[in-house]
This record gives sequence, C-alpha cells and structure tokens, in this order.
Amino acid sequence: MQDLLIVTALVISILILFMVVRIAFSKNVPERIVALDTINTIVIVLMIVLGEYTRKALYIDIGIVYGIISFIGTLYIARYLREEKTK
Amino acid sequence: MEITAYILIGIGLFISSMSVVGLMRFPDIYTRLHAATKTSTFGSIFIVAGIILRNFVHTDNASIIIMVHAMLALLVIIFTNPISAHAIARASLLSGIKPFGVKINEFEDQQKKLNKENRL
Repeated sequence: MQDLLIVTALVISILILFMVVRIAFSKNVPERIVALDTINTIVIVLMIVLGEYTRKALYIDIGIVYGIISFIGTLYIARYLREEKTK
Repeated sequence: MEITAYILIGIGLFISSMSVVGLMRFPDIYTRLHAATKTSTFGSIFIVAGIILRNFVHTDNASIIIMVHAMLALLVIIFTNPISAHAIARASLLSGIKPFGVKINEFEDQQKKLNKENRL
C-alpha cells in the first residue's frame, strides 16, 4: 500500500507541470500570480506526501517554511502590481 | 483505517485536479481565483486529512511527530491561502483590470478613492 503514496506524488507533480504551462501561456501578470499561488499550495501538499512516504518529519517542516515564505512573496508581488499601475 | 485514508487522498486529488482544470479553462483572473483558491485549499485539506488518519492508528514516536507536523502545515495552508487570494484580487481590481465581458465598472469611484489614499 506504500506505492499508492508515490502515485499520489506523481499525480501532484503532473498538476504542477500543468500550472507551469499556464504560467507560460497567460496574458497578463495577475493571471500568472494566481497560477503561482496554486503551485505554492500544491508544493506544500507534495512535501507532506513525501514526508509520509519517507517517514521523515523534516520534509513537512520544509513545507511549512515554504508556505510562509511563499505567502509573503505573493503579498509583495500583489503590492508591487498595485503600486506600479497607479503611477 | 488504511483504506479510508486512501479514499480521502483520492478525493483530495480529484478536487485538486478540478482546480487545475478550472485554471486552464476559465477566461479571466477573477473566475480563475474562484476556481483555484477554494478548490486547492479543500483538496489539500482532504489529502492531509488522509495522511493524518493513516498515522492515527499507530502509537510510535515517528507517527505522532508526522501527524502533528502535518496538522501544522494544514493550519498554514488554511490561514495563508484565502489572504493571498484576497490580496491578488484586490490588487488586480485596483490596478484597473476589468472582469471578463464587463462593460460598466461598478467600482470606479471606490477605485479612484483608494488610489488617491494610496493604501493596499
């Protein structure tokens, strides 16, 4: 039954690939940010699945820190986007 | 218990795939936010719940550590995801991107006022 976890990780990786395609072929910046935000959420879930597969809690810690840092990054890009257009 | 956990993980994967399909198909940013944020949060809640349930039956040390850390990561996802979606939607509305197919902008005066005050 341990193999089903690695199948889950593979499916999540395929979802990330689709999101990368979405980033490459979108029209303006906010649509790219939306796809990037979805990638961040999915990467946290991937880290949790890998931590369960290898039975190490270190991967899950990496996921937590990645989530917080990507949250700050998204807020900063949103602020930059807003201040750029007003000038 | 094991089978229930895998059923939960399967449901979560299905919901996450639906969020990706929504992002590929919808026309503009606001509908894409509607598709992406809610479904990806919900799908990750299901997947992490399955993993927590998988560790719930064992009582050894590593299982308890993995369970608690997965709960913390789930908490991070639940708190940060709606806030960042709100920030993106607000920034794109204030920077003047109209929703798809909209002729009249209802938020124009509000937009001008917030732009004059210059705060996010």
